[in-house]
Parts: sequence; structure tokens; C-alpha cells
Amino acid sequence: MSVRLSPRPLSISRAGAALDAPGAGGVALFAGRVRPDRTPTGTVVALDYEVDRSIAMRVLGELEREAVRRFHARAVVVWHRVGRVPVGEVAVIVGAACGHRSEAFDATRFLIEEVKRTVPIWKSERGRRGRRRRRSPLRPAGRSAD
Amino acid sequence: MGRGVVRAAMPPAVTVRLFATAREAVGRATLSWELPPEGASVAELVRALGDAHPPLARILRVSRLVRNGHYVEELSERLRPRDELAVHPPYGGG
Repeated sequence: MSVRLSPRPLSISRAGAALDAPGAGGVALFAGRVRPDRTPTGTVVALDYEVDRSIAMRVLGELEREAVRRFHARAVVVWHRVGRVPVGEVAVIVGAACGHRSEAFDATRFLIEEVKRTVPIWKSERGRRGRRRRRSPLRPAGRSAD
Repeated sequence: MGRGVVRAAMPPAVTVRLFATAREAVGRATLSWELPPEGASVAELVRALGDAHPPLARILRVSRLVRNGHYVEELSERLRPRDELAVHPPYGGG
């Protein structure tokens, strides 16, 4: 089991290794990367991620346990970058090793949707020339990393 | 909350931590709010924050609040000196 908030690059291969659970017949992994979206303030060159770390780590742990309970996951990965993440780099990795593929896919989908909905992480877009842009303050921030 | 029930001032106070759009609306990451002797509810503090920082008011309406590490379930909860209240605008990870 593994939850992580890291300012350093996330490795898909290491996440895959963390999902190497004995007896798991299905392993699914999702990685979200930062896209060079075009916005009114220019092309996105990076996303800045902000986090309320203590609450976020607790919620990530709860998501991990829920994936085990609901989908009988034998291994779970929920990793998220914090700080500045340049275009092309991985901002989030979630995955699950389960008995069968359907559970693994369902668990992975559950994890990424719940990360976006329930974990106190916020992002703002950074364009060329250092301009920052946050989408409507009344709605969750944009979807540049999925 | 009645006017002046919660005032920006000196300890003992509640520390308010602001994130993302809430921080940007105020221009600071933390605020300190003195509680009156009779205390105040979370709702009263939220109203006072919105009155003191109008750009923050509409963000508060859609934010989740975290008191001492736990999500606030009832705005009628009473605050105590040295409590910490975090303002969480809608999340946007991933």
C-alpha cells in the first residue's frame, strides 16, 4: 500500500513495481500528465499544485483503505505531485492490483475520481512569461492534467 | 454574528488558514481573529470574515471548513481560543 505527496517527479515504473502483489490477476494504473493547454493567458507551461498536507494525507489513506474494502485490492498506489509540475510530467498516479481486471479498473477509476473530488489539492496554471491563471474560484480548477 | 463580536486583533484568537482562491482573495495565508468573551460559532466567524474581506465572501459560500484537522459538520459549532480553522475552496487535484 502506498500513498504519497511529493515535490519530486513520479515514476510510473516504480508505481507499477509497488503494485506487484502476489496473487493479483489484474493490475491497472492511471497516470495523469500536464498538458500544454491553450488558455486566454497563453499556453500552459506548468501547473502549480498546492496542498493542505495533513488533511490530504489522511484522506489519501482513507481512499486507500476504501479501495481495499470495496474492490478487494491487494495493493494500491495513490501518488500526487505538489509544487510546480512542468508540461509533460506526471502529476498523479493511481492504481490497484486486484483479483481480476474488472475490479482493478473499477478501483483505479474510483481512486482518480475521489482524489479529484475529496483531496485538498488545488492547482493553478502557469503560462509563458510567468503569468498565472486559476479558473473560476467557485468551481474546481481546470482539467489540464488528465 | 453581531457587529464586533469577532474582531481582528490579539490572542487568544482563532487562526484562520487560507488556501488557493481564498488566500488570493485576502492576500495572506493566515489570519488571526480574537474571540469575544462569550465565544463565537463557526458561522459567526465565517460571516465576520466575509464582512472584513468581501472578495472572500463568495468563496466561503462554496468552501469546506476544517477545524483543528476535522471537517466542520455543523456551522453552529463553538470556537475556542487557539482553534485553527482552514478554508478549503473546491478541490482541483489530478
